[in-house]
Amino acid sequence: MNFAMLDFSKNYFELFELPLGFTVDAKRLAERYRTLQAVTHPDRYVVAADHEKRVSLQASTQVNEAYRTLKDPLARARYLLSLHTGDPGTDSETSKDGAFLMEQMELRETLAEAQSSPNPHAAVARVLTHLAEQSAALDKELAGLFADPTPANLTSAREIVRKLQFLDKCRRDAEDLEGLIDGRY
Amino acid sequence: MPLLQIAEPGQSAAPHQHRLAAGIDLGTTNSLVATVRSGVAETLPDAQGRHLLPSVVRFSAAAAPVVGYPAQAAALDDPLNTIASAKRLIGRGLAEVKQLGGRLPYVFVNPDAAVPRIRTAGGDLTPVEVSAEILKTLAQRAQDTLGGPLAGVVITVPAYFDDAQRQATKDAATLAGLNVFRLLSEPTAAAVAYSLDHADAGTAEGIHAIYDLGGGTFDISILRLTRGVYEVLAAGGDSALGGDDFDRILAQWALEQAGVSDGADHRTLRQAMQAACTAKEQLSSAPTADLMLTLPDGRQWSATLDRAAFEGLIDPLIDRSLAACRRALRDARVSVPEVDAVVLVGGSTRVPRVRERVAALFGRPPLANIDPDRVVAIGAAIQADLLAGNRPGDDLLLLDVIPLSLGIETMGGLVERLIPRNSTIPVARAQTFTTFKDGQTAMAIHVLQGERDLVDDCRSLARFELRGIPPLVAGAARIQVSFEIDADGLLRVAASELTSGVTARVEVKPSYGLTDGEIAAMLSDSRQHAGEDQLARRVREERVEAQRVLESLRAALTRDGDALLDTAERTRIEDAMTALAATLNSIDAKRIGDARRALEQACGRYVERRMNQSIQSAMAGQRVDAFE
Amino acid sequence: MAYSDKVLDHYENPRNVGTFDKDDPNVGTGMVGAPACGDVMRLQIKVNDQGVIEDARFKTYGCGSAIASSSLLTEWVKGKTLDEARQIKNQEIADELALPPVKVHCSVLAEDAIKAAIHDYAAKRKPE
Repeated sequence: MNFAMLDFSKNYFELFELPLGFTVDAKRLAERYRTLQAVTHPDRYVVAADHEKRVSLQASTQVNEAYRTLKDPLARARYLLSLHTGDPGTDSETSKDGAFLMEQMELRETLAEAQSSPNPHAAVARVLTHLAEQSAALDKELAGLFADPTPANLTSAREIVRKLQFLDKCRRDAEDLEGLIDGRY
Repeated sequence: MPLLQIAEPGQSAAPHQHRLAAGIDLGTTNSLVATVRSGVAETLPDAQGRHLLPSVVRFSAAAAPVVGYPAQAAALDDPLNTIASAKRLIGRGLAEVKQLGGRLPYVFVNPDAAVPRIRTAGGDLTPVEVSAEILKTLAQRAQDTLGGPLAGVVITVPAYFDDAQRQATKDAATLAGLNVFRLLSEPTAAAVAYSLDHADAGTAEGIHAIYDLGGGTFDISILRLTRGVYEVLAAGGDSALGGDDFDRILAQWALEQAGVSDGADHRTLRQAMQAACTAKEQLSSAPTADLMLTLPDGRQWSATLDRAAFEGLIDPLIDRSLAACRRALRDARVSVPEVDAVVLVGGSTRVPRVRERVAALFGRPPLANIDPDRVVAIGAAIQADLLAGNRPGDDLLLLDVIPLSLGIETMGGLVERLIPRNSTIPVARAQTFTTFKDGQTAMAIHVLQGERDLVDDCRSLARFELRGIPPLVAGAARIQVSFEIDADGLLRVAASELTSGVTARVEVKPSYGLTDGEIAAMLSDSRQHAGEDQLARRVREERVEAQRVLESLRAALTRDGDALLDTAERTRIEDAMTALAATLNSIDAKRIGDARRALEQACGRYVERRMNQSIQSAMAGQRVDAFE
Repeated sequence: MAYSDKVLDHYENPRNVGTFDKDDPNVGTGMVGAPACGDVMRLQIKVNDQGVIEDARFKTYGCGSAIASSSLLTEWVKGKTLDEARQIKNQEIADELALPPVKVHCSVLAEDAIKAAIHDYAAKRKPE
């Protein structure tokens, strides 16, 4: 997005005055988010001139985007990859890691079957727990790799992020399914 | 120009100017207006001391429209000219309204149009125009009480209102001649009222669930309050579920029992709805209620309904609201025990069964100590006062979300999501498109809102035609389309061709809205009726605005012009100021406006630097806090 | 925006959904995934002794375009020799289904899936 008008050449970590890395102090991040919105939010410029409203809208949008990115581990990891290498590089090419994909396929099949199981909520919850554990383990690996961002480590990090993207999609599907099951009763 | 007025901590900005502001709760069944006077937010009564204004407008050929109680009283005798619940129709197509709300006792003209028009003795009217009449009445009440014109208003909308419904509400305000400071979600407004109410007790911080069941809409919002900042974590609901549905299901039951469910005419329908509403209210305190109807053939019918039977009828409707609550909790990633308070909003939460089941879901008794009919208007008034700049030192800030995902149609009738639901606003996303054919110079984009994968299951918001794409071979053009949702939750689209830098023209065809041209035409109609001299009014407004800009800029330049501007920049700004000052006696509104815009343009970099400086100093404060 | 009825048809009535025994020596299995959107696709072919694809099955968890791409592909490969099947290009799938640029990667996924399935089959048949 083009916010070149503002001095937002700073990256998101600089904007929030947080150290560049995968590990982020969640409490500090949330506090600084509120501070930045208190200054930039359009509600502060309701009686301003049009041009000022525009600057506020852009700045506030940018702060929201930065916060969203830094808050979510997957988005944060993708952002770090693009800062280090100019491109997250996790979207191109097809994944062919057979064993991992097989497991993903099985997870999705379990989800599909959960709908007709006697206790669908519990079945979906089991999948969600499994996904959360897997993601947490991968996050831990990422923290180590980004702490020492050598080209080799970044290549490994990229592979992990690709895996996390599959897990994330499965999680969203599971949550949608929860809603669907819920709506039936 | 508040950006230029930002003062160092402890220093006050330019001399404070009090602006009159009001909060308006534009409801399906009833509407209210509230203002802050001497620091207290209160809803305003009419001359008879009544705070609620029934959202009913009666139109006639000769006289001006009648709004509120007298219109409501005439509903039975003049059903076709008396429009109630316009909020259910606003921003919707007719097919959709029928599908959602069952039978409507009005005559529609051109039912396939994007905006349905209701045929009345006062003309063929859109729901936007009907709502504008209600807004005018409320604004007049506020101006009479405050003794002057309103600088602006905050109008509340259901959190679950989509873009078309929000835009239509804003259009209604424009038609009513009101300056909208902000469209505010109803549950968020209620949360504001509660946080101030509980601030002394120190119980306001934490996670709040706001259960808002109005006449025609249901909202659930999960919010977190931390040191004056309200973050909406998730919003959900059903923009076609409310207390009216309790009435409708009860009326349907009565008509079935009376054996006239198929052959009921408009009059019988209205009568059944009123009988149902009365019975519902009785059942809130009494174990049984009697219903009576005069049938089309003149027969009298009556029956007694007990509370258990009533609850059996409405339970499926309450179920729908509770499913939405569970989804909102999931979206917010909040578990039931983490919720610190549950607040009831909306007249329909008076139904004991609703309270009972909300308490059961959240495992705690809900709060209802502020009148659930008034709490939204009170919150809106506080926010309006704040936005007007009348509460210096108050650090209350509301961070709201969009309730529905925004996507575009990809070929094949499928939807590609661009901005997920519950994204904090303002938010923007860009997407790059390319051309399919050699020399293609135009492209159509269909924007939708909703959570489903198929276009047919989502709400169509608008179709955009991109024109003026430079003719290139297929696939060579790179058209970046950016979607921006502002703090009102309203969408704006911009597009440019990246390889050539050509800005493509965007033509908006709202699927369920009025075009800018239609609004302008309605506005000029209404001003002619008001007999106001439009030109004189515009000149006056432009002069005031120009003086305001000049004053605050002078103050800002004295403070930090030297530090933030080089000589050339400063000269350019001062030249533009001189030029604007020279137009102040002009009677040409456009000339004054052009000069003001030129000055604002000249101040561009200055404004941005001041924004960056504000960020710097706020973050410096943060660093100090971090060491404490 | 023009509708592509074919995508909808393949999305709503996918052809050849299912599985073959992956240990059957006549079966080749291709497992692929698109990390960008998290779609997972399994495409299987059953090949006769003449090297002709007799039958095909798929299972795709993903968006409509990915389902439609794999469904279409299973129809196309039936009766083709392995060499012919290997020649299928993603662009042909994208054109047939009129996929928009944002969805072209779904057709790439399908092309990669058939290649992976042929590769798996070939690896099985390779003399020890």
